[in-house]
Amino acid sequence: MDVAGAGATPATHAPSPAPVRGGGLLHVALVGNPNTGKSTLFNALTGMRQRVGNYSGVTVERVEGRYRDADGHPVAVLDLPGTYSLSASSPDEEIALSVLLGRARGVAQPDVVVVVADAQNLERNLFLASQVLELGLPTVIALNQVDAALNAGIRVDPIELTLELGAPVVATVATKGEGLELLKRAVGKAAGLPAAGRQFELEPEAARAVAPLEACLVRGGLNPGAAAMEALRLLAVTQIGPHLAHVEGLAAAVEAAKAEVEAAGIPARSLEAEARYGWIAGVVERTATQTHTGKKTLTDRIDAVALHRVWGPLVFVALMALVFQSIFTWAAPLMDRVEALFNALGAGVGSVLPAGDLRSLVVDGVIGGVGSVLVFLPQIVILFLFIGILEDTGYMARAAFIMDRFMRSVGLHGRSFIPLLSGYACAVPGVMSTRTIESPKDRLATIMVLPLMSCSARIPIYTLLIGAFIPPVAVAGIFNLQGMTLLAMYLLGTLTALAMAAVFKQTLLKGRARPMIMELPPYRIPSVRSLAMSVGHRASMFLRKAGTVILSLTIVLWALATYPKSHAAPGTPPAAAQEQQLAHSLLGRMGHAIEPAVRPLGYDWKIGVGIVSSFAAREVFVATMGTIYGVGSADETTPALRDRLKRERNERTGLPVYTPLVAVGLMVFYVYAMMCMSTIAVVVRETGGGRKGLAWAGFQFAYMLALAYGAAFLVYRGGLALGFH
Amino acid sequence: MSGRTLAALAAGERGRVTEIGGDGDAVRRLMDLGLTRGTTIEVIRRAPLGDPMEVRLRGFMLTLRRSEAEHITVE
Amino acid sequence: MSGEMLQTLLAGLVVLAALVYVGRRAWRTVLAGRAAKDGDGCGGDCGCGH
Repeated sequence: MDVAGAGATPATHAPSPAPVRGGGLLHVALVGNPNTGKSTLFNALTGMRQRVGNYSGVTVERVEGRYRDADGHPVAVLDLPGTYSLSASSPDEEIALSVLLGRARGVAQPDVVVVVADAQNLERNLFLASQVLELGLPTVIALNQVDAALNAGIRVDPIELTLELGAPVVATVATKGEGLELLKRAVGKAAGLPAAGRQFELEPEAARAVAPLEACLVRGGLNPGAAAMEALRLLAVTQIGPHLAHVEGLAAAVEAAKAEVEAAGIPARSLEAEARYGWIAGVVERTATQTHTGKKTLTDRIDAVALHRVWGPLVFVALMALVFQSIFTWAAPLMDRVEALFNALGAGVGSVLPAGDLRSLVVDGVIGGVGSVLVFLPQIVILFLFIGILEDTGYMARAAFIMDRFMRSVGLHGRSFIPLLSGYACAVPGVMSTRTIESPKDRLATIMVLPLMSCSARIPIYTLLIGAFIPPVAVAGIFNLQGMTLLAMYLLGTLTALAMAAVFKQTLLKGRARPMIMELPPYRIPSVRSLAMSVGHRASMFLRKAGTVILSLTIVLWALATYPKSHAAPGTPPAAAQEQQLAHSLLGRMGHAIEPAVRPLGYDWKIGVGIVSSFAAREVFVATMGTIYGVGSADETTPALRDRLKRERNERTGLPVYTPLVAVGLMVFYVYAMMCMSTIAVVVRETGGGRKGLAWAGFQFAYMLALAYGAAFLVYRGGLALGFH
Repeated sequence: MSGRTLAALAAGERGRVTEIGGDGDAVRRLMDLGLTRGTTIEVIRRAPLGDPMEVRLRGFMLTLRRSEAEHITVE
Repeated sequence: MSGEMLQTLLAGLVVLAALVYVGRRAWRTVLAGRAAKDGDGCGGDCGCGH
């Protein structure tokens, strides 16, 4: 198949040939609608050689990668955010357009643009393609998901389409890796050829009305093709984007053009859509055939249940319950194995090294501390696997659809649901995924309440305290009090998050509701490879965090608990000697210092120390408790630690320090308090960075701490007043 | 000529778009997605909580709220 | 140097390294806030890894 011929029917604006970069790095940009498999294609092209960062000045993710073509030349690929058009009404679209026009700071204008089009949705995808084709850059169309299209009875002829569009069209199936070599070759060849340009003509009156506007844009530095594209686009939008701010007299020219178009009897707003779709209809008629349209697709049949008035929410709740169940139950045997491994490691090292500080550091500090964190790897992997499956199959969009009405009752958007849900795993990716929320105020509100969704880091604390202090009794026959307490903690966090969102949206972040116009993509079987790659990425990031931040913190904590050393008189029992050492150390002194602040909540200085040390990362609480109570390598399931907690007595009053009431109060504190350096860092960045970001993150920290203190106080004092102890 | 809006259509009903009113982002977004005058649109269902609604447009599924659908006149 | 002292010395070095690391991370968090204007964002490591 010869795809090299990019000769086009000359339209009214002859595009200039694209510059050729000889020998050096070829820059390729991928654009396309969401849900076209663009990311899968990107992954298939670049493999693991990817880099994720940010575009200058905006919180849009910048994804780049490389591959080598058949001749060995390096090619840099930029995966632009998925967009439906170049209308530049959201930061994502704005960036895509800026990059393609060569006006994005720090980004090279691409030499070749690959438009990833979904063969199942040709009409809609060609809208974006038609805009891109006019920009004056060599363009290749990757017609993706042709396999799914065939299943739906849609056949597209790539050669006919090439002739219609004036740009090479390569059929691909990214999930199976088909068509990739051909695509790479087409990209390589396209680099030196002239760009396609517009393939249709406007009505004479419209063309005349728009001409002065195009001229104004050309004077502002755009090439004729891009000027033509922008002129049409500007008639429809309400705001001129920042990338065109430098064009003189643009606003006036736009108004004049709109007036002229209206005077000719054509609504300015719909000119672009009608002109493009009018042309597209003809193209599709000539290049695609559709058989068996009446048949209900699998997607339709699944949605009949998934989106049913009654069954829909049931399916939804069942799925959510499944995800949570798997995290807690299925991960357990794996977690036990990891724990056993670390215990053995600790014992092994302990027997090899002679007694001394280094041995204590390694066994109690490092192995104990870090081990108690790594034990969560199975849970994290399972959670991210499920979230990945829900997203890649397309169910997440259905979830947003179902939840939109409910989300709006607290002032949020259906799109906030998924980021909030991700918060159950970890607030960091949740906060980052708020980028899909268009309204800045909705986005801020979502970010502000996200950490209230009980993330997986709180699980060790819940497990430890529930395991030690909540009796495993049955309630109402089938429910377990322990399980219910856990559920209660989750519900508390979730309900508070929704309530705070409502509060924020009514006060600080009051704003207009943004439209809920969203595609429900056909269900598809997720690419195992893509899924494995993203879950693996998360797991490795977790390991990295454990291996660095938590490790260092644990080491520092160990030092604070070990020095200065106290010297117990010979004959003192080990437990008492341990006590003395702790009281004498820096950590102990810090704990005593803050005790007055936490005593109203029913805590003693040791718990106070645990809380303070976990401000950097919540999991550290368990490790700290292990260190404080002198239990070698402890985690939240170690009977030794639980026993120690139960037996702990307040030195002054002789009463137990930890009672179920104290335990619940402590858990409530952890439900609310913002204790994660990583989340703070991400919030700073995603709320705008600099002073603004610090201000928002600071505000979040403060209000959450206030909630934590207040709620823990209420629980403890209220419980005491009610007669609990 | 029936001046019904898209919001008034029941599940399973189809309509041809005659007018697109309203202003701002929602309208432009819908037009970019292919909702132009003369296009056929089919209401598939409403969300379990009543809003938003799911429609079929140019071969794919789209959601929109009642408040957005009210600006679109069909026959 | 006795075995015990050696151990203490080594432990001390490790603790020092850990302190330096924590300090740098804390500093980077502050910097990430101030300098979010220029590109590259988190550079691939968003810290949490959860």
